Amino acid sequence: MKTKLLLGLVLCSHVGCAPMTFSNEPVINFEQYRSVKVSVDAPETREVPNTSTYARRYLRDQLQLSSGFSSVTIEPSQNTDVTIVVDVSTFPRLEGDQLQYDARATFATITSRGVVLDEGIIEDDGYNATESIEDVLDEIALRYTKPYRL
Amino acid sequence: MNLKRLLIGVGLGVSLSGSAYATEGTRTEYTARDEISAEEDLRVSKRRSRAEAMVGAQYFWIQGKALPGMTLRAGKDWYWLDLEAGFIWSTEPSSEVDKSFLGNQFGAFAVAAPLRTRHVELRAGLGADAYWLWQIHSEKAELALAAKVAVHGWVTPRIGVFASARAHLLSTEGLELGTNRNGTQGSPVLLTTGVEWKF
Repeated sequence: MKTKLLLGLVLCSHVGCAPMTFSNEPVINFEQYRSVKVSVDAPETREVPNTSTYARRYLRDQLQLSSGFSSVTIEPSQNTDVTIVVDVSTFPRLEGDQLQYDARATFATITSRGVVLDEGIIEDDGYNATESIEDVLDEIALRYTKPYRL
Repeated sequence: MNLKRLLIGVGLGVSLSGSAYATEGTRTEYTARDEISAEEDLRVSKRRSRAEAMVGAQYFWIQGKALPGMTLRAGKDWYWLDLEAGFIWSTEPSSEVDKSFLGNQFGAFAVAAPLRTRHVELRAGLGADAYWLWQIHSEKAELALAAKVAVHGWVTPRIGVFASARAHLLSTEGLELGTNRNGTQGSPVLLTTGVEWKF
């Protein structure tokens, strides 16, 4: 019985089971650009005092969790291979009788020599301004997810 | 002989066991066995036309991954909605991601069931396969437009087994069904097997 089961599993692994790969292609070369400095400018929100500092730390934490950079800092004086510069703006809007916030982030990843490696605009929304800011920063961090083939 | 029995005998008995009864003038005669069979078929027919729901457990047969999950399907006659939710583990070590649990699979399919008998169902449908890899990044998700066929066998009136096969017609860039990590090609058809329980 055990032999049959084992045989079944072996057959499955070679015949019946389909391979399925999750992959992520990096937008920049993390072998070449290993360290990053984060600079975020965000409008003040009611929920979080000193929102720009909060947003900078938030993006740093997200990049440390999942990005391909081996070192992430928010220290302006620190020398790094690249800097991610983010400018966020938020816009309140009424959806029915519910107040929603749209956030728009313009970002650029620039080398220490001033070469722009990557840039773009990301928009998202949330129930409050801070949530909408976090959402656009999440998407920027997602863009720099470490490369993998799983 | 009441009208109901007559209708059962004429309506269903004729179509399903027509040779087993005889007409003598205006009087219809049939055996007790045929009467029971006709009534049972009427009950089955009524049950078939009611909406039904089944819950189940299934396993996706994927190389290098373990993906057990739950299924829920509901529908009536030809038209069904299948929902799936599962958990994804990588069973092969990776130098890039030091986690084995990757996230969740979700599926939603509109399914047609052209063949439904008391013991077997054959179904085919179109839907979405989603893989939310939240252990890699909270916003990381891969999506596919998938076609699937399934065959179900009822072991008892309430407990069944099933097998399905699906292929991805379109998918996001980071989802490669039929491709190994090293880029070699394999079967592009993903098989699942499972058990289900009818409410």
